[in-house]
Amino acid sequence: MVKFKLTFDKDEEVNWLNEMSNNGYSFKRFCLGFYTFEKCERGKYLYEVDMLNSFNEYSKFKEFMSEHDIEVMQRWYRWVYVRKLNDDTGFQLYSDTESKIAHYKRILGLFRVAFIIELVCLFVEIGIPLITKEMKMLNFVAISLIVFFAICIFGAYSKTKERIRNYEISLENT
Amino acid sequence: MKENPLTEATFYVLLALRHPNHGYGIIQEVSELTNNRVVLGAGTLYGAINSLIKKKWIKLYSEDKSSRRKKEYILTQEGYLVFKSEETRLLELVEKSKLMGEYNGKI
Repeated sequence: MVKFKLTFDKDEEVNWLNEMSNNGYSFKRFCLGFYTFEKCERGKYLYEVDMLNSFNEYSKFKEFMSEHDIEVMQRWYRWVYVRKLNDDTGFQLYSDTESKIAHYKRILGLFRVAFIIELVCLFVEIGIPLITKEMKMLNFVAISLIVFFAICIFGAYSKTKERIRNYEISLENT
Repeated sequence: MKENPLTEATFYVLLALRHPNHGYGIIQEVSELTNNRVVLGAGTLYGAINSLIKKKWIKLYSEDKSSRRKKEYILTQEGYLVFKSEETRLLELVEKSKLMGEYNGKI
């Protein structure tokens, strides 16, 4: 089964994948908003999403996780999907506040890169019509899409920032 | 060595590496030592090991390609010194905390 879902928020994505697994669909692959699922026993797997420090540590990360019975399923740039068999002990990659903050900060970095790419695209899409003095329908669609994505990314960015702030406050209070 | 205070995760990872140990063994040992109060997540441990290796507080001890638990790590002399200086700091805290016995609770 293939489902389309547009989310830029990591926690929302993880919750959704776990919900799907609870309903008997285990996540297999992701491609541009399209998630492929396979039928499975209800709640067979628990999912997590992580963001690598660097692009080339993937095999090291994968090897490390396999020692902990965690299956690394897929990588998108530095975004990775992992899962483990649900043994009722829960599944969280990060157990303490410090490492959670570091994790969300890496994700913020990804949003910043996305913003820059968006900005470049926006300049191109606005600049070309200005030079050629003709605004094509396609330019208009592209600009609308860029603005739409920018709003989505900004929403996820703020949520992530908020989470970091909350964790930092809880650290100060200990 | 201005590295203190250590995070709880760092403290226990260093402690669990006083003898050679692999990642899974570290998690098990820390859970046992703390009666499951500190259960290290795999991601937390992954980050801790990488950063401790970078600081040279721990190092790779052995790598067995055939075993499923491949890599074992061990504390270095430097890591040991960091741990001991943290211990000194903690002992001072415990020692000073005894002064709290003077509080009579009536204020």
